[in-house]
Amino acid sequence: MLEVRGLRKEFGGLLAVKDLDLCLDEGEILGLIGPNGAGKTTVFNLISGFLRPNAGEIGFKGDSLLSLESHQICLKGITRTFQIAQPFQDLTVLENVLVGAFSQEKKFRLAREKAVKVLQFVGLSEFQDQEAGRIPIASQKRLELAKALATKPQLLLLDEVMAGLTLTEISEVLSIIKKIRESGITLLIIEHVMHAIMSVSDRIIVLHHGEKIAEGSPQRVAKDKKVMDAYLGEDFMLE
Amino acid sequence: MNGNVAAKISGNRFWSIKFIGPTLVLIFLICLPLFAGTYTLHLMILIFLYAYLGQSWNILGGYAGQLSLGHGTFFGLGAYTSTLLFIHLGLTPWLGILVGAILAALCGILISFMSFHFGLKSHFFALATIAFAEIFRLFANTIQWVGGAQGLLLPLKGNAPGVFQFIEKDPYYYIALAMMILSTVIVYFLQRSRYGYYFIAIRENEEAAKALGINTLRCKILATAISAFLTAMGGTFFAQYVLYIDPSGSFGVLVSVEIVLRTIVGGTGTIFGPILGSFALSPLSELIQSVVGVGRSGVYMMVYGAILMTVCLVMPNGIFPYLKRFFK
Repeated sequence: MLEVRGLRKEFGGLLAVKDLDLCLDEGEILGLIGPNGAGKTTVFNLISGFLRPNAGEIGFKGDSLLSLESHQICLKGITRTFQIAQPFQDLTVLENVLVGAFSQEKKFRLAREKAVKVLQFVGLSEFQDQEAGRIPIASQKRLELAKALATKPQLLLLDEVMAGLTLTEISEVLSIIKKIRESGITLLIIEHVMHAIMSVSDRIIVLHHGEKIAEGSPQRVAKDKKVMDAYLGEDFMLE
Repeated sequence: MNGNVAAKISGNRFWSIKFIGPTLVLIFLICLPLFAGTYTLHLMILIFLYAYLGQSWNILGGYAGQLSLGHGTFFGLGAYTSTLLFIHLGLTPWLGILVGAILAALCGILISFMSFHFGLKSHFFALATIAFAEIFRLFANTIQWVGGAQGLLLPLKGNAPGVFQFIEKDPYYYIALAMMILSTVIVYFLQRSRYGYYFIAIRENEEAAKALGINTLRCKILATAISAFLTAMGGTFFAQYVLYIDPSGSFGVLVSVEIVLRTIVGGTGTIFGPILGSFALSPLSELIQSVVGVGRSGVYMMVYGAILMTVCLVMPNGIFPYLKRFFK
């Protein structure tokens, strides 16, 4: 579904992403992990059109994404969330999701119905009419997810949706992710919460200094020496 | 207010202060010419006109969040286009008003495309709009064919409704009132339309908006075009009311600033902001002039400015949001 070949991104002298190859099949959950600064969010930005690569190819279902703008990529079927929640502060939670729903449904009433359903799906219905800027941070992250889901993506890029959440909240989000997969959406997830991403991903890719240093099933990657070195001894073995 | 918006979303009409209040005021305004004097009517006409202009600006500046300080461009284009067509071709301003509006919309599309395609944001876009307003002002000032610095006097036709001229103030009053209501109705429907939400999303967080599939460039151009179209119509009205236009009064920075000021004071991005701001500032402006005298225009500006600064400090979001919180 998604094919990335030889992806390369430089910022002045800094090489953020180097010769990255990445393949994602429909229905998969691919986890993207790596130490801070490994280039993971940069990869998201490149795929979703917020940054242009210096070299490489990004193909989605056979079509190249390189000539497309970020909003066009969303309309093609790839939606990303942001690491730091970006709600539309002056709008209510429902209206935030409504904005996403409008990309698929032009009529107000129908779009609103879709938005309500999405809020139920992620469990934010209680906040429906509250100003988005005023709900708790954990809920704002959930709202990020809801906005993205409202655009009916085929491929969803989740950027650290679980950062800063309690264990209960993490397991809630995990079950939502599983529901998302069951509804037929492919997922590419960046995450630092190791036990979570290891438990939900089909495959893991590890980035370090912009390069792929390991790829495979969570079990295999967890035992990879290069990966352990990259995290400088950080213990993240599968529980 | 969340309850209000939620009710609008669910399609329920409910009668409350929010609907009864403005309705009563509207009835009062409709009846006003029956007992008010000429000067009061003149004041009200200016209030309505500036509320209308502020509302037109609000679409781009308040809802889409793109600060334009050069709306004089569109105001002047409207005024000059309809006036020149009237003087040279005898075209009735009732049609000239549309020509001017279309021209202004095209100009708005050009300005906004050039600015936003190259990613100009906030302050820089504001500078670009100021630049364009100045360019037009200099053009109008220099080219004799459009009147030069002396401006243009409209041929007096007496009471001639067919060419948008009236002897009495009453017709102007009702037209201005209608324009103010029309612009507010447009904003009302915009607020709950798909594009309205897109504009607000762009204002709140443009990157997030793009990530949800919104073509932000197209939206910003659309907002500019609509805003320009409406503003230009206000310019034509002004020309037909005062029957004299000149470059500084039409294209100058002062016009642009006066439009923006009323909306900011009243509350940008709110439906009643421009109206409240106009009702607050226009009489204030007149009051200062009568006390201090416009002759010493420096003093007038200082007092005006001081009052504005106070308002900004006490009610930073404008009058309307302040009142909303007060009544919550």
